[in-house]
Amino acid sequence: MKRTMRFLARLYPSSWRKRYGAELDALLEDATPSARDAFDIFSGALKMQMTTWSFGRIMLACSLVGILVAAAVSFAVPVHYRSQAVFTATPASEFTLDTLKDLTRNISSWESLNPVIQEHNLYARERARMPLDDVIEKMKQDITVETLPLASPRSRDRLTFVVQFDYPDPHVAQQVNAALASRFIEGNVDPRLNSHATLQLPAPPNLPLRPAAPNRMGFAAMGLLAGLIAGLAFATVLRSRRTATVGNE
Amino acid sequence: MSDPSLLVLSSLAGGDKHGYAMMEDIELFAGVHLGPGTLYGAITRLEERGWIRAVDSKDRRQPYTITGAGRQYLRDQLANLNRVVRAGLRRLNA
Repeated sequence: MKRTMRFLARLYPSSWRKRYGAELDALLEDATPSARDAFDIFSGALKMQMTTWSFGRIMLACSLVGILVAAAVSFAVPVHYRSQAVFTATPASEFTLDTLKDLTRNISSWESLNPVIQEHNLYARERARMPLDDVIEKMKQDITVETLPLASPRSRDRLTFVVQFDYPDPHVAQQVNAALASRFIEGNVDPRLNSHATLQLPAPPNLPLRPAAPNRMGFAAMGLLAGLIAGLAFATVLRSRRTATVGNE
Repeated sequence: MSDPSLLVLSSLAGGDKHGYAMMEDIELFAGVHLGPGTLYGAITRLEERGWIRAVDSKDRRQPYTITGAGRQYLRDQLANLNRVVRAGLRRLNA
């Protein structure tokens, strides 16, 4: 225990140890060591370190901690790849927009998604512990259909929209997005929809090479920001406590 | 009373002492065990404020003495405490 206490006494700032180190070591030689005293030395060293830290050092330490925590969290977040397919639809009319909405609704239906889940064995872990309805709801969240703004006057005669599917495996993401894309095309020629839109697929579902999530740089930036805010708050509290201590004593 | 600074000043008011002697003395007169970290935190603060100072010694066990300013501070603090104690007792017995 004495060795532990001597080690803990080394945690004090070097400037403090120059002045008080020898006499603290002498006291530790005389005292009967206990776990409570060891903790007391540790907490004393920590407080002394903090009181000698400059504003810049506190900010730096908090920023580093923020980045490290954010990085750890980003590695705990499941990786997702996003496959994209770009469609064009003509004519660019309200009727075509309504057709796209109907197509999206049909493709996101239970009857449409269930066979895709079974065929590609999607969400195996989720299906083991969740009802199929919940799994289908999850899949709906992984599918996005976005209509892009008109890029140029020349493209005003057609609508461009992107069908995206997110999944942990990039190859599966591409295969499932291909299945969704073909359902769009098949659905459009279904006479029940009475569609007069013409769909084209200039950019078939791609194989994503990089994960879409988590955005580790984004996490690091958030961690840095949180660390800076925490550092600022911590430095302010520390300064006010130091001022209070001086005022009280 | 468990303020380490007041306990250290009260101990030194009875004569110069080094760290371990202060720990034992405080335990004896106040029944409070000051850990080494707490004790040296208080010694550091008190010396910075000029309320105690190190006494010349060749021993590693550095003795400290209370200064005039330290005595005055201790006297003021104890007077305040005394007022609180008397008021509390008076109200308890009322």
